[in-house]
Amino acid sequence: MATLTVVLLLLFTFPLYGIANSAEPILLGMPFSMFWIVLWTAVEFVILLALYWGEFGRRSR
Amino acid sequence: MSAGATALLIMLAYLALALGIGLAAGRGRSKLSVSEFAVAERGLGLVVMWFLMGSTIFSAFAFLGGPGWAFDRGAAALYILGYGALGLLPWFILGPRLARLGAARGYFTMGDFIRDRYRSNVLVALMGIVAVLAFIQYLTLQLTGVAYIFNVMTEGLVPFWVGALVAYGIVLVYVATGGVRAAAWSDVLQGALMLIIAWIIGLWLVSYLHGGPGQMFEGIAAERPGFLAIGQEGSEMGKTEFSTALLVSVIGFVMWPHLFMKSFSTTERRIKQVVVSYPLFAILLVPVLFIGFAAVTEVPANAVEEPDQILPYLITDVLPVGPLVFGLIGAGALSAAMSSADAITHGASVTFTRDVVVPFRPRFSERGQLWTMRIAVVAVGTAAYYLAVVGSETLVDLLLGAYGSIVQFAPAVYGALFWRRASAVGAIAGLVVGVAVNFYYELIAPAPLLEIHAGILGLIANLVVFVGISLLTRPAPALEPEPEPAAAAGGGTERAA
Repeated sequence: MATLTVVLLLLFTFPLYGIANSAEPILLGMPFSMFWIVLWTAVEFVILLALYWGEFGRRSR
Repeated sequence: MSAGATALLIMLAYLALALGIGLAAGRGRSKLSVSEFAVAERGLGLVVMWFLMGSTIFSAFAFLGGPGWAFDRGAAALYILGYGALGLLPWFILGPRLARLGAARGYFTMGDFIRDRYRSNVLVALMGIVAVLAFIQYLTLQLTGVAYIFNVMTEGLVPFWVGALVAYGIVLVYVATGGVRAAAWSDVLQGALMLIIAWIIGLWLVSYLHGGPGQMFEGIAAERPGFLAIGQEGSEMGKTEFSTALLVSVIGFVMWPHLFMKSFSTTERRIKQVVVSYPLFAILLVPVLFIGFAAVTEVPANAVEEPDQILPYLITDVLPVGPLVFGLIGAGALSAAMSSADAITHGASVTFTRDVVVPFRPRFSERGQLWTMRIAVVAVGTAAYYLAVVGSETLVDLLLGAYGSIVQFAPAVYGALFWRRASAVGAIAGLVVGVAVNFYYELIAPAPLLEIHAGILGLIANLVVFVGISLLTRPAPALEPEPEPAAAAGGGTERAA
């Protein structure tokens, strides 16, 4: 979890955010600088869901 | 009747209705009781918990500040998405530990935990004072937001200072009567309603003014090169400023005492559920930012006095809707801001009484505590009102400023959980130095050092002093070994009963 937080922080801040730091291309109606954050947020959500199911999924309650 | 008067009437009627429902639901309970406050939130469902944790973002900050920054500063507003996506992640690590400790040792507030770990009332009181100062800035944000809504939605009928005063008055009534906390579900409904409204307005504005988001952003990119990026020619924010603003928000998010407290009144499973579902917030905020971007090429910057007025301005002056609709939208935005203001004011008064006053007056009567809380509510509200009327900062700047102080709690809190050598003297010295550095760069220094957020400069100084002095002094006695997770989970549900 700490790793996930640090990796995402790095992806959303400079210098790594420099990869996405541009209006072009416009994807799904968003400038690339915005799309990048939304994309990784979606990835984050999927990873978190997987972690949660790994921990609690099989227990019935 | 003029359009402004119609809108005003609808907003006032809605506020009266919301207050009436709250009062009816909360009759016979006193909100100004620490145990009542904690008990009220015990066992709340995932959705309610999600919205409660989200109230930091789901307020005037997102609905007015987000579009305001997108309109005025372009890509700078994207930090808000990153903050929503990452803000709660540290809670996945901290929350369960705090929940276990809190259940075993009976904590209610952040101060209870810090005092137990460091055995220092001075540290607890210092943190309490810093928290109250940050709460004041945060309340200023909400009062300013409410005043903008009143002012623009009534087409200037209600001047800014009257709008802020009305907001202050409503907060006093909310907190004094204790009605709203009892109706947590009504807060959730209001929050959800506001989100739906924001989506409709955002998507409608984009298609009404530009045809679609793709065309809108192409238009902005063509007219304002660099506006949709960070740290380039034509950009409104530097790279370091963007990065450190995000960093300070992510570290600071769960350090807010009123959010921290929720760790003690819930279970590990619930904490993890909330963290997992939280990134959805960031995605839900995308159309809210669209509202501000839609105005960039369409509205001249001087059409509004402050960028944060852009949302109400677009509704009253651009969208083809009548006063009835802007009255309703205004009412929704007001209720979102007011419920946050209510939680902040209450958090500040509990923190002040329990962490600053009671440690030095251990035999303070229950009655005396209630009066202290009431006086604290009035004092905090007055300070925030004053700042709202004289201040000129944008809503997002206000929150970032508050984060500069709040983030200074991080070394002491993480040290308490993860570092055996942490000492009370180290924590006190770190906090004092960190807060001093933060205030120096926020208020006195002419320009921030290397564009770094003042809170991060303070945090670096804080950390160095905290670690250095802790190593030189005797560590605080470690807390007793943590109980088994299974036993703690059971304790968590029984403790407050």
